[in-house]
Amino acid sequence: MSQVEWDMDEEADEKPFNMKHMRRMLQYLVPYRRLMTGVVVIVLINMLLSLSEPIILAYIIDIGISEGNIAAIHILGAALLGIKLVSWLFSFMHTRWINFTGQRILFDLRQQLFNHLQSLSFRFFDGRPAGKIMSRITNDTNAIGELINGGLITMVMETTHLLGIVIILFWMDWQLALLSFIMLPLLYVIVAKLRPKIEGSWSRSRSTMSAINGNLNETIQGIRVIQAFSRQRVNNEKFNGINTRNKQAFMRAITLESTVYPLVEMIGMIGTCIVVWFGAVRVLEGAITLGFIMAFINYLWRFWGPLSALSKVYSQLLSAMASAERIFEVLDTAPEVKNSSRARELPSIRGDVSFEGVSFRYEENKPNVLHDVSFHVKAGQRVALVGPTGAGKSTIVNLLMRFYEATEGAVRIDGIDVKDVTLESLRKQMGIVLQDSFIFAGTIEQNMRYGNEEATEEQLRNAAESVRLDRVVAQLSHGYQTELEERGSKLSVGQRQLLTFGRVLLSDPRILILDEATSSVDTETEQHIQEALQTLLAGRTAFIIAHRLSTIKDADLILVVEDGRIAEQGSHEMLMKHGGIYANLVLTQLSMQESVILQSSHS
Amino acid sequence: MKTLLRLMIYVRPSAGWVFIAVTIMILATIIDLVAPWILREIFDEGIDKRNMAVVLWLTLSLAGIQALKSAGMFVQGYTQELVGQNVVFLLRKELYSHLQRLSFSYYDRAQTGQLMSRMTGDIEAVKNFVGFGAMNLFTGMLTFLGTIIFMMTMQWKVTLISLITIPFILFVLWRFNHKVGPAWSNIREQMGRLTTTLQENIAGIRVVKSFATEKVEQRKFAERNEQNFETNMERAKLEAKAFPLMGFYGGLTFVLMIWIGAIFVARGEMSLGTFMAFQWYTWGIIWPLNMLGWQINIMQQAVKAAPRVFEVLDTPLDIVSPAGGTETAGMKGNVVFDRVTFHFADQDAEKDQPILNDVSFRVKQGEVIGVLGATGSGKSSLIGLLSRFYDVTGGCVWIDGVDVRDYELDGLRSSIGIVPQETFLFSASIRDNIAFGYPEATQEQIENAARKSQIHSFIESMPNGYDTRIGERGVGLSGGQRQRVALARAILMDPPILVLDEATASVDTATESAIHEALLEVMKGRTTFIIAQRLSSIQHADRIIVLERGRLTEQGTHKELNEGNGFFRQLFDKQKQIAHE
Repeated sequence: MSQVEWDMDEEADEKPFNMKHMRRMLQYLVPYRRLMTGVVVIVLINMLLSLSEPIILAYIIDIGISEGNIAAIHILGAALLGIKLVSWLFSFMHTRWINFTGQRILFDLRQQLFNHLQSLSFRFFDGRPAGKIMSRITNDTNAIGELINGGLITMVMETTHLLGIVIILFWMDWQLALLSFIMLPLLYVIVAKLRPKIEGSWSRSRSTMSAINGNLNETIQGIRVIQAFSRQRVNNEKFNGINTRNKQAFMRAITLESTVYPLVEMIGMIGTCIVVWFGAVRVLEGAITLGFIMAFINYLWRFWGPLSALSKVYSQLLSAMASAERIFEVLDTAPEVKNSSRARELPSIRGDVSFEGVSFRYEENKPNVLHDVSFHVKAGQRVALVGPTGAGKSTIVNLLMRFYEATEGAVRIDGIDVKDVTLESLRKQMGIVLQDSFIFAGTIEQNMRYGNEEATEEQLRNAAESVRLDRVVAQLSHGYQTELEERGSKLSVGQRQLLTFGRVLLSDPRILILDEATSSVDTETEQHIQEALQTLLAGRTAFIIAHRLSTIKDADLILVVEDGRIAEQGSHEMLMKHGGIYANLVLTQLSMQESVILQSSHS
Repeated sequence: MKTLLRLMIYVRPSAGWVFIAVTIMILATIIDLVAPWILREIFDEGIDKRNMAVVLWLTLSLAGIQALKSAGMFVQGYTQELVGQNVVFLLRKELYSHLQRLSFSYYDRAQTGQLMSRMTGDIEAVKNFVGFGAMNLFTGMLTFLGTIIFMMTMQWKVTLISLITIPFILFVLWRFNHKVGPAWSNIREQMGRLTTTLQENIAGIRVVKSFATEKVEQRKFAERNEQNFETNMERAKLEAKAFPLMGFYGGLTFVLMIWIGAIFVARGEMSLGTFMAFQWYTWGIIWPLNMLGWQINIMQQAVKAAPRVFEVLDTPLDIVSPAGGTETAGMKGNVVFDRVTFHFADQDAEKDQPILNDVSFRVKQGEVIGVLGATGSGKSSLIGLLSRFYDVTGGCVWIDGVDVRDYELDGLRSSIGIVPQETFLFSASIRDNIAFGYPEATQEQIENAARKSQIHSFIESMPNGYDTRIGERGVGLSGGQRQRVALARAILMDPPILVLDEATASVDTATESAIHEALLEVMKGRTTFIIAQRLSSIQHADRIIVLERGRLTEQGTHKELNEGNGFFRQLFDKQKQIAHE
């Protein structure tokens, strides 16, 4: 529960520039290094061509115009035209390549994030709103994709442009060049001051966006409760607050950012003015030609253009860095439950389960949820877990499935510690039906086949029949091909539960776990499932968490869980004779039923 | 065009800001146009005529107007984003409040991922255009026109010759605009699907893990991701074709201007200063045209994204509060179902069996009614009609002699406290979750409600008590605990009608019994519906109705039903048999 604060907006106003993240972002370019080298080469050639333009211009003025040499003008004009043609071809190529690279990296990044999410343990998802996780995979990756698509090429192009111009300017007239750059240090100081603030405000803007996502997702998921309780007004107010915070965070970032570009232009213009003034003086002195000063000024404009383009890329970079941090945070979350280095495939199991002194707590400094739990189940046995809500029944099966790792002790299947086998081989041989039946968007058949895509048509029908799903399907106009929506809302809760039963049966697990799975199925259907289970469970080990006596009674082993301990264990008869907690539980339930019977029989 | 006009409605509240931004922009454009002219004067009047005073003054004025322009640009940059943000803010707000009012039948079909993608990505696309995009589009056109006018007044022949490429550029632009629209439409659609896949995966992560199908899910996502890549490349190809070509045409203008200009200067038909100024002006022509490509991109994105947002906004609310609806204060809770028939919206009324078929019964104030029936017999729909989550297809539902459709909607729903079958808790403190329907409740009231639903002592045992935060799906609490929090939530509202929709199904029998004991007091004076499958859950019911395949087949007291030979009797026998084995 400590992670609920994920993405709350108490982030710092200023952030130091994180070189490590920057380097890590660049790593994504590595697979495309050949293409990128090609792009850089082309861009460089393109740049050189464009840099030669003012020189040609100077010749046009000094040779062509001043000396009235029309032929020279034609030759030089044709040269200019040639340059433009070549740069057309080149920019077509690099636009294609850079777009490809950018989109591909976006693809890689998303896939990597998604794949990593699949390996993360339940604890990561516990309390982290789905909307916020989604925001990182969609919005944050987008910011990085945009940087690569638009920003990277600008960066390469304009930086070389800039360097080339500086070299040319100094080569033309180093004094004039120095004069025109006199304002640059000022620009540097201002940007250095602003940068941490801008980056900080972008990262705040991102996290408020994620809060919007989180709130939105929850609203859509919980809409039924919201409407039932007429919460719309209060929710609107709450959303307004988040929405306003997002707007403010964004506007703050924009305010800071809007100062950069005009500043660059201003400083550029001051440089131009200085050159014009001193240039004019030197032209009058006869030290330089008019063509020269024109070319110089032309270069100078070209210097400030890239600089302001770079300043825009820079803010794009800052915004992407804020996103990168959020993405890397997810990527760096190590899965708690993972295959150990010496993990091996779990061979086909018989279904012997033993817990040996198992203790468990959710977090280091939290109290134990399970204390020293030990029991042994032989292959093919049925185990019922009973006890008050919150006693730790679900935790026991979660440890068996290895959704969490036991803090102390060992869980063994056929004598093999579950920690020593690969997760996939372990879970593939087990099946669990949860109380909340989750249905995927898709047809009934696709949902049935979820755990076993190779099942034959016959197996599918048999499984459906065994759980009485065939009756439900018969009522639907498209049968097994009926498309179900996200939450399976065409089916009632009970019908959905039947579908999850069918799903797990089709996957043919060695060990079957029913976690309060039958509580929303009516008694008649449940009885039918019980019958079907009797035959289907032959050779399977089953763990059943339930409250109904009818479900519990026939179990080979009943585990009474209380306060995280196994308080009693044994068969129904044994425990009834023992007269402990279980016997008490049964008697309460019987007396309740008796009272119903009494009510019905007498007036 | 219709989309753009509709977007204007959202811009209107920010009209003042738009005015400021546009004014500043026009001024800045004029400054941009004047600057080359000053430069020309420096060359022709200053350097050429060896007048340093003119050079000095003109240079200073060049710096001066740039200072003005820089200040203006800051204000403009700020205001244009502000306008964009205002529009987004308004759109989001409207969309959110609309989403909250859409009826259950909409959500039965809607995909969360699609809705989320519309609310975030699509709105973002709209924002980019409304703020930055539209303003740049306008600046570009203004600069373009202004430049041509300035150039024409300086040297119209050279200007005209240089401009012959413009029609080609416009043609490229026109074709690009035509093609990139559908491409963006695909991308937005694709993004919605990607989000849906993602959303489903996160919501169902428990199932994914328990079936060890991570690999399958990765493949599924990779497929969507790949499609997303391809649609984006489709658009990128269009860009790669159009943009460099436009750059080439623009460059051609530049070349022509120098080539032809130089000849004119050499012939003495144009001054060197004008030639110099023209070079500056060329950018005023090329830049807007190049920008136009990007702006069209941004505009098309917005034009394709906005309808997706509007589509949600335009979904009619099929269940709304009637004008002048009856007040619900003092509601007693006499409920009558009068020949009620119900079909889901996507069902064919002719062919499909109705969910509820000609159901009639009446309940007096304070009665406790048990509703029994098999899975899918229509029990939950009964409650959906009472609370008006759905409207009846035929017949009427009355409370205190007033058709539920005539009640003020919020009041009606606040008067019916529902403990649903599937518990949904919000990521907030336990206190906020219990006070969900009645945020003004005092701590004492909240604790009282918690006590009645047998959850108070558990909450007290948590380190942070009522301030303990619980996750989106209420993780950290067991199924039974979650249901009891939901029960407290309903009790706190103090409604005249209480509905327990299999509310104690996942609670052990001892706890259930304790809850029912406590509920006896809560139920006093309230009309209560207990939907259940276990007989033990309805032991306190005054009367029982039995639903079978949407029809009401039996009703009466325990005793009356036991004397019959219907569903109740069979269920009863079955459970009795288990009890006595």
